[in-house]
Amino acid sequence: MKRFLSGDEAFAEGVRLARPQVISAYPITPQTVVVERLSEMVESGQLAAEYIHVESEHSALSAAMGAAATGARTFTATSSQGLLYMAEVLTYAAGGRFPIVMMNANRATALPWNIYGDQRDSLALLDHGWIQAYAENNQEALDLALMAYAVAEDMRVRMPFMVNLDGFALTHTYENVDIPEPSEADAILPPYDAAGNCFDFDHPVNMGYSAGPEFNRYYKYWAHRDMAEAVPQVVSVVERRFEEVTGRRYPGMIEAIDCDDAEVVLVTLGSVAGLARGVVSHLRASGVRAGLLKIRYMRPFPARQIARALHGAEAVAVLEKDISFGAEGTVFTNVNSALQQAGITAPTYNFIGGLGGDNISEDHVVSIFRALQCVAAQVREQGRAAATELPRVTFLGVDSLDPEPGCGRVLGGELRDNGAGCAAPSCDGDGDSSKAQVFSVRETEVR
Amino acid sequence: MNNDVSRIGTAANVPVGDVVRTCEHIPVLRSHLACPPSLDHAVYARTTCYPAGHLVAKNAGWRNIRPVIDAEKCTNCLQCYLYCPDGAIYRVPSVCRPTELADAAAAQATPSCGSDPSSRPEGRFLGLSPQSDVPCAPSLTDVDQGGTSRQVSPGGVAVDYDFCKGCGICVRMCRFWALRMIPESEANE
Ligand code: SF4
Ligand code: SF4
Repeated sequence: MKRFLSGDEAFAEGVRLARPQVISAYPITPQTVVVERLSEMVESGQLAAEYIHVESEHSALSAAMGAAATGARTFTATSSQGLLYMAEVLTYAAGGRFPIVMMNANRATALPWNIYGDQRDSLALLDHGWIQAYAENNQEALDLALMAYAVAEDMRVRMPFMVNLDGFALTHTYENVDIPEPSEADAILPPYDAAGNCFDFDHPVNMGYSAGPEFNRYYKYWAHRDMAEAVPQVVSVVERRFEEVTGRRYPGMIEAIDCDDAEVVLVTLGSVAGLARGVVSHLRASGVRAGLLKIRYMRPFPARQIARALHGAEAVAVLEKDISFGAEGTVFTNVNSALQQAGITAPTYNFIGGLGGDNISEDHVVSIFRALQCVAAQVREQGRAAATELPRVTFLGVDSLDPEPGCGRVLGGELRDNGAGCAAPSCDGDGDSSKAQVFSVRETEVR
Repeated sequence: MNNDVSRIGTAANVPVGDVVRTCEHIPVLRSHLACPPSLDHAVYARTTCYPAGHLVAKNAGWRNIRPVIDAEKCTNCLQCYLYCPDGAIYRVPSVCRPTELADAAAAQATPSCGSDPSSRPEGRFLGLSPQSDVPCAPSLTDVDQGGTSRQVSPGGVAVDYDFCKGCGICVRMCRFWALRMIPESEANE
């Protein structure tokens, strides 16, 4: 059934189809709508779940964990400060291997206070033992809600799963989504079998115990191995099953778009991938060998797939809504590690944008590709030392993205006059005026 | 099987990836529970869900009062187990339960012994000889030599005093007044 839904509403539909037995959540913008919809479904009897109103996010995840320990399928959702408040319980849930599914509405973290979208909240928590996926659009969000349970509850995995939706860009933006029938959902997602990890009156067990130095490492070792090895396998099994039932196909841990012969590749995640998709297809149409690598899963980190997709690139950009202050964007660090391990030496650059809900425009993306082309050409002509001409970390809307003098020669006339990405404080960060000179990108095609 | 608690910690020398199967490497304090699910870390280290008392060092030295179960009143409802914050309440396998042990003992003693709860002192079964045919008895005695005891209701509910911290929550949760706290100094061990 097709419906016109916001990301939050679409996700709530996915959760309804997964039939969680316990939902515990505390509202926070921009997550609120998903839990409002779910509480309505519970109230109307559409969803047979226990809905627990808690007084904080810390309690929301604690309650979900307690319910999971009785063998229940559980759901919670949060965002930003709420997620950070949950942080203590995140490691509990992961260490206890409870397959809780959580929706996180990606939102900026204080201070300054800001309710809009960026990805600093979830990316700051990559090390807490949760599977982390990032949705590009509302359909993918809904589908991830179902698939997240199937992956998390698989006997080989048994880990909590955080599905990230960009705040407002997805949570509050309406799109047509296809909602599977309950019978289809049931064919994708079997009931949760908590055997071996729940309270059991026939075999009372100690749950959530201590493990001192002599045993602790084993727990961490297996959490790491199961995350790294089992999750990608189970993701592909679940995606195959999902495709058989719904006809929708998902590409696994990453999606590589036009990367095979790409000279310049943009790596990104979440809703910005939708924008970059459009830009890449227009660049391709104008003869630029551009590619897009969309990271769908940040944990486990698909290092090998990323290296494979980027092995032919001459210059790589990572665009993310995150900054690890004093270092670089965390996605960038992860991507660099994957490339270094694979012996790929193409220059890489980090573009930080969308902080606190800031717009990332097509012009920004175009400018990033132009800068990459410029560097690639300079490296071809002058050797690897030329790669340092572009800074390692560039803040969109603050740092200038204008090509270095002399770069226009390599870029060719048609690209030179684009002032997109001009970011001096006096300048409109979106650079609208000059966009049309380069590509006639239709706004309506991209979010 | 060597249950010597001094072996606790020897697993620190086992390299990651090794399959640890024997009690040589794991302090199986509660081996009287007959069959721990697995001592292979590839199995047990996938969750934090395991019968109480395995894998960890004894940790009850600070307790100054302890819960005792009144075997007559206990209905085996396990409410106390649900609320115990330390997972210190467990169910003893049926072969080890005092009724059956007492019955076994009764067969050799007075006919009334097994049927009269009052004649069954706390922890009585601990006194069974290690040579008993009851499979769990030898290790019970082993544990007892480590200076601990258990006390089991007819339904098989027991408090593990190696881990009970004496918080008293179980006493509050029991709806049948089957639990009470007594000072350690009055504990009969
Ligand atoms: S001691 Fe009380 S709470 Fe525990 S099992 Fe017996 S009756 Fe139930
Ligand atoms: S006193 Fe506390 S720790 Fe001991 S068995 Fe009762 S609830 Fe558990």
